[in-house]
Amino acid sequence: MTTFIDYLLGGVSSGAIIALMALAIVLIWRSTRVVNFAQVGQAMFTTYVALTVRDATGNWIIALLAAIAAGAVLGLVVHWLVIRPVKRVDTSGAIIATFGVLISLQALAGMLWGGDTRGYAPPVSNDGIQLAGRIWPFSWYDVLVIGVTIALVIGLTLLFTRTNIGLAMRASAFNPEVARLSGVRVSRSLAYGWILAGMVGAIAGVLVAPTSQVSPNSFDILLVFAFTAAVIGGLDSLVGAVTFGIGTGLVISLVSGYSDSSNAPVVALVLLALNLLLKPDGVFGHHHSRAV
Amino acid sequence: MRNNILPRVVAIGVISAVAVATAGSAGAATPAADPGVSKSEIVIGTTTPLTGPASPGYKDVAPAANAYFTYVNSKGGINGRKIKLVVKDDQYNPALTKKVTSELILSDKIFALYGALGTPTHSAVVADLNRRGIPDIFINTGGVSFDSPKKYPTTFPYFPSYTVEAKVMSYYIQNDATLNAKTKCLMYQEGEFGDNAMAGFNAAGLSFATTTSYFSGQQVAPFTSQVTKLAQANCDLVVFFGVTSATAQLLGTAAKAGFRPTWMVTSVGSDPSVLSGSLGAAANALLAGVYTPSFLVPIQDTTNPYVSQMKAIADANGLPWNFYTYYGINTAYVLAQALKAAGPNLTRAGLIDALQTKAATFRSAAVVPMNISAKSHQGLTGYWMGKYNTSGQVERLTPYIMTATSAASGTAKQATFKPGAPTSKLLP
Repeated sequence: MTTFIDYLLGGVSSGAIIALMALAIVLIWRSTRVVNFAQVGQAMFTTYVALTVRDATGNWIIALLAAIAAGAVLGLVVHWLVIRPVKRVDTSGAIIATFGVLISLQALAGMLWGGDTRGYAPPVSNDGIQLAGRIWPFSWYDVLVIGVTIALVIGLTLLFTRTNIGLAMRASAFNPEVARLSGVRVSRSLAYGWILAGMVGAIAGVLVAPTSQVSPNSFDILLVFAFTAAVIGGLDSLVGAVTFGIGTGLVISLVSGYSDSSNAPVVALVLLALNLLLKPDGVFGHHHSRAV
Repeated sequence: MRNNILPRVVAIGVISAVAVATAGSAGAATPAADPGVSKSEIVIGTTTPLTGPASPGYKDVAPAANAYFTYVNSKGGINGRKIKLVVKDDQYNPALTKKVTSELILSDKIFALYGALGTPTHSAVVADLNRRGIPDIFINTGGVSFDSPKKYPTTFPYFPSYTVEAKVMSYYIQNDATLNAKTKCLMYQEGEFGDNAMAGFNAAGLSFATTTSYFSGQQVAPFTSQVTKLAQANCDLVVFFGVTSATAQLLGTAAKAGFRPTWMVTSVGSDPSVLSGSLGAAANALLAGVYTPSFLVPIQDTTNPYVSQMKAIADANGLPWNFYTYYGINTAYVLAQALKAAGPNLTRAGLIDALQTKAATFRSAAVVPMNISAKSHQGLTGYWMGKYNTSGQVERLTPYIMTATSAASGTAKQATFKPGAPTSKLLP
């Protein structure tokens, strides 16, 4: 029984990280209708910024704030320099352009910080919590990551549903022309979306760093899992991204534990395929409201 | 009509005879030189990940080799020729390896390929290199399949294969009463890397209480399920066959779970400078007591004439002093000796012949014998066993070495080997 609980706890803690990255992908989709493959690249880049600031100041919070600020600027730069000009032509071009951004950022990070793997110490203990005479594979750091994830989902949901900016962003993404006719400054709303996603991605990067490592490519595989989670969750649902982010973590953990780790990506892909066959809009997707 | 045939036959005969004679005389007078060799230069190519996920550590190898060649060139080169090393970045991506290797062959017109890095990457080009007869010297992979003179006559591995390493680990464990009494478990990387190791453990008859694995790339998330499995099986000796970044993740995850077995880690997965980069200050504490095999003179042994001179070359070129720079300079040194041994009339066939007949005379920082002949291209044949101390250095435990072959059967055996002293000023 303890084995099963250990697998569950391990799955939840790695799933929370996948969830955070999935959140950033969903955010861009929701506010600009572009799937941003550069998300992990932006997060990697801002994590390097955080690492530099942290080396200089020794302060985790200041480093996090620096990463968030860098994420906002980087999001805006990517939007203005790449996506906006390309998207005038068509959306699929913009999606492919995000791949270009990913490769450019990885190359740039390699030039600025080198290709070596760097560690990122957590702000609170990442040692398993000792309870009832044994050490459980769940740390205070995991609690922090899950807490931040939940806070972000609530905050972002409120932003999208209860504020004018959120409404304008949704309208601009869903139908720019109608939004423009209704007096929404579409270009500005799209920029807000990129800024916001850049900030969330930056938080994700800084939180992922202690349990992975920081190098120009170290978040690449996260993109695969985060993308899976985002798609199964419906691509535009924040709750869906988090639920299936954690779900993906659980599947990897349980499958690796009870069978072979090589089966984990296969099971994840089978689930993705089944999902696309049975419920192509995602479990938490809102297809019908858009079909009107 | 009939009358016309004879003159034609005669004409064709005369033309053919002249053609054959001309070709023959040309060949005898000035042998057609192989590409990449002139009176003043030898062009050598290499493919390696300078960027990308596999680059940490590995990116230091080629610059270190280049530093050694620059040093040799400054002392007059080899048989009057300077070595030019063309380094191509393949990012550990087989598709890119194909592309940059073609560039090396077709536009850089290399004489030989040296130090190509990676099993999947080199698998993509090895057949083509052999088909073209291009010497493929000291590849940086322990993949067993490359040691096959029949299939790949121009390919020469350098470091011992993963099968040899697994046999050596098994021998050490089976002959150490304390280690052998422990509950032994294995974790490995899926794919040829892990398969080669498994072949070695099976041949040695070392059985494990439980085995677990990870897929390449999985190490970005903690290895919680693997560690849980190992801890639940009460493993107190865990053998690990994986890359360095995975070792870091495994040691970190195990520490988090309070799981503290004795570890034994593959030689290619435990460079302390790379591990301390990712594990930070905790690296030395986590590494202390970890067993790992090695085949070179310990890197911290700066009183050794190989280590001191190779470190001086790295230092003079502003390179870090780690396993990868050490290794890069060392194999470049052996290649230089092979080129010298091939004689002033340098040809590809001559280089291959020199490797197959004179390898035993080549000096290097390796403390195990090198086995290269027309029948076997194994390269280095064994290891000594070491253990990390609290300052992140591997200390040699066995005065003896353990040698084995890459075959699917047979075990490692104890051996002694006294390596020769370096050549004067480390020049070929």
